[in-house]
Amino acid sequence: MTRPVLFLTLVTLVAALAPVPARSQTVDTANVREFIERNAELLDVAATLVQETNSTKARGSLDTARALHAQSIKLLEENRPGLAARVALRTREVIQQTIALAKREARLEEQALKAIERAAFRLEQARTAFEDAGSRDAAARRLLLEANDNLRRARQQLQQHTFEVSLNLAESSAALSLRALRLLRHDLVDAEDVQDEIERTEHVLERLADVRPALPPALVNLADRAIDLQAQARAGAVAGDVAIARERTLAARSLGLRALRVASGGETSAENVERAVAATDDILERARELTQETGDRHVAERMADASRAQDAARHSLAQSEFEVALRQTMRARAIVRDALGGSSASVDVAAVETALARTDELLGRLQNALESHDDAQARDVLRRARARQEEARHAFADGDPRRALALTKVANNLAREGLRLLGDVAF
Amino acid sequence: MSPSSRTAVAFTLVAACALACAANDFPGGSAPSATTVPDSTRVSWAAACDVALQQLDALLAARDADPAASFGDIAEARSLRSEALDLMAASDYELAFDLIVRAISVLEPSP
Repeated sequence: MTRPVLFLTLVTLVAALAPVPARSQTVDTANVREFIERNAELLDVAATLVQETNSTKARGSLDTARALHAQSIKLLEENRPGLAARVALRTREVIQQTIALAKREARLEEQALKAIERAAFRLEQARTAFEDAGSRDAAARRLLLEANDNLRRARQQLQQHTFEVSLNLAESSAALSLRALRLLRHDLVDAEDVQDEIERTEHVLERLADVRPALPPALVNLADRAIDLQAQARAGAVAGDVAIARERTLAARSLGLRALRVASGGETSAENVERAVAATDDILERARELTQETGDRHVAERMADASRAQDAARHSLAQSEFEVALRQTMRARAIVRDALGGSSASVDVAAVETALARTDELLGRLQNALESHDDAQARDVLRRARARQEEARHAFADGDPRRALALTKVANNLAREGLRLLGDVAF
Repeated sequence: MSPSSRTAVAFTLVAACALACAANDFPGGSAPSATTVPDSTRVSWAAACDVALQQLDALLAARDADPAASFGDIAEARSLRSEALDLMAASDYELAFDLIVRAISVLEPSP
């Protein structure tokens, strides 16, 4: 038995077996007929809305509503008005759910389509920048591959009518392409960034529009100011004035978020959640670099889970669901931590000693290189690297291997930077 | 305001924001678990790291745009930032916070 048929059977059974309320003993057939006729009109409205979306979920819900409607008509024709009334009431509920579902799915479908367009455009830009620069940047290449994969999956999900997943994947793809662009072309990023900011503000304003009828006058004024500022931001972007566009859209978002917060009575600070999500982006990017080096498939899968949790957080943030976004972004971090082997509370002392020795070796190499080719910047970097390495040695002697490991890695990175400055081909 | 007082103000702001985040905004239940550190403390440190990281990024962006900025300052701050992100990825927020604050102090030195 298919699920809609099973559902319909259950609903009819529940309606038939439910205790009959006292007032329905004297149910008026004319009233029931009128109610059912109104259901027919609403079904037409629902059908029109469902036609506007490709959602299979909405179609399934509409089919259920139609079947229930047919049942209610049949029961009335059989002169069983009490039962017909109960089925008609349930029909009305399903129709209302269908209308809400169709509207939501249509909005998500439209958002997913737009997001896919944006992601495709951004990926193309990043690819062009990569090719133009003749770049061999491994990090940018990785980001491009991941962006391409997410975009492919976003299109796949759109075809399968799972619009929310498609939207998340497309947004993730666009964010990855933007990161690749940041690595490759700084001049292009400003305009792209501001467009991204404008879109994020737009999500907030859409959310605000949904709650507008319930807003008190002061908040309506605030919402109007936000809309006005957003219009100015869009005009600035069209005119190529990136600074004005950014300033206005951020101001618009700030006002919009404030109005939403007051309206919802929410306590979680939007700014803090935005900051947490941004920091998780950085953590994920760094963790991707680290895990790429291991080539471990299980770790790669866990990282993909973390990316999905972060995508969901970004989506929730765009929808102004701050507490949900915070939970999701912290979950992404927890997955990363597990993927990387858990907390570093139990650092292997021998590994720290090895790391310290490796840094000493690099510092010696930089010192030698400076003797044959003096460079003021590289000398400054060597001085800083030595200072950090000395702190690392102190921390190790004080019984704090975690701090020692962190500091010697900083010294190691600096020594590598110095060797790169001197043109050491190995770095 | 002298550079050293600016630094002091910056650090106070970071600490204040961290405390505010810990007290109000970060639900303890959503924190990553840890064997030795209570979740609420961990999340407070995570919030402090987020605040400090944002401040560090603003300073780095300003230095990147300044042609007279010291290469060594930027390299050291970036190296500290990178290590701090590794520590945050491992949920070692307390040590990460320490490194981020060090990076901030590299970019805003005392006279």
